[in-house]
Amino acid sequence: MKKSSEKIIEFTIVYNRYKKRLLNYVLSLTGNKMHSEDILQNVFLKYFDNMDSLHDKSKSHIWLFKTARNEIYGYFRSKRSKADQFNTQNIDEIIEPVEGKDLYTEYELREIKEIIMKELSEMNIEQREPYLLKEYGGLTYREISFIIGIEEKTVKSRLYKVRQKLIKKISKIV
Amino acid sequence: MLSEKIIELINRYFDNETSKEEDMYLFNRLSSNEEGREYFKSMTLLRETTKQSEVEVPQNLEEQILNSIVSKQRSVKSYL
Repeated sequence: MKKSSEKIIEFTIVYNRYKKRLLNYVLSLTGNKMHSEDILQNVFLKYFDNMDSLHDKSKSHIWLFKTARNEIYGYFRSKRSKADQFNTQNIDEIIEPVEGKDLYTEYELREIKEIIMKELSEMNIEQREPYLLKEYGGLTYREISFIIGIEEKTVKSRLYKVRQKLIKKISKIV
Repeated sequence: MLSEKIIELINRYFDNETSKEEDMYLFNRLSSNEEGREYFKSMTLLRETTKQSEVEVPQNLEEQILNSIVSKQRSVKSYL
C-alpha cells in the first residue's frame, strides 16, 4: 500500500487537473448547481477510494468522467424523469460576465452565449453530451466513444450536428 | 463553395484530431476559400463563447472535498 502522503499528493494532482472540467460537464447536464457540486464531491471521493485499483493512471480522467456520467444518470433516475426532459433551469448561474471585446461587443457576446446555452439546454441529452464532453472535458473522440458507449463515427456526427445548429443560430446575430 | 470535406476537416482541427499534413492542407485551402474562413471564424466564436460559460469550483466545495479526503485517510490509518 502507498504511503498516505503519496496517495494524497497523487489525488491532488488529478483533482486539480480535472475538477473544473468535471464540474462544468456535470453542471451543463443537470443544470442544477447544488446537485452538480454533490456529484463532483461523490466522484472524487469514489476516485480516492478506488485509486489503488486503477492500473493505468494515465486513464484516470476516463474513470472520472465515466463515474460522473453514472452519477448524473443516477440523479436523473432519482428525479424519476427521463434525462432528455431536463433543461438547464439555473441557466443564469452558468452565464458569467463577458470579458473578450476584440471582435464583438460585450452585448453581442452575451447574447451569443445566452443563445448557445439556451439552444444546448433544449437539445436532448444524447445530442448534446458529446459536445459537452468535448468542449468542457477536452476529451478525444475515442474517449467520448468509450464513456458514452457509442461508436466514434457517431460521436463525430453528433458533434458536427450540434455545432451546425449552434453556428446557424449565432450566425443570425453576427 | 464550402465542401463537406472542408467542414469535416475544420471540425477535426478544432478537436485536435488532425495530422500536421492535414493542417497544412486545410490552411492552404482556406487561403483561397472565403466561406471556409467564415466557417472557421464561427467555430472559433463558438469555442470561445462556450469556454466563457465555464464556472470555477467554489472555494467552500474545494475545502469540503479535500477535508473529506484527509479525514478518510486518517480513519484508514487509525484502523491499521
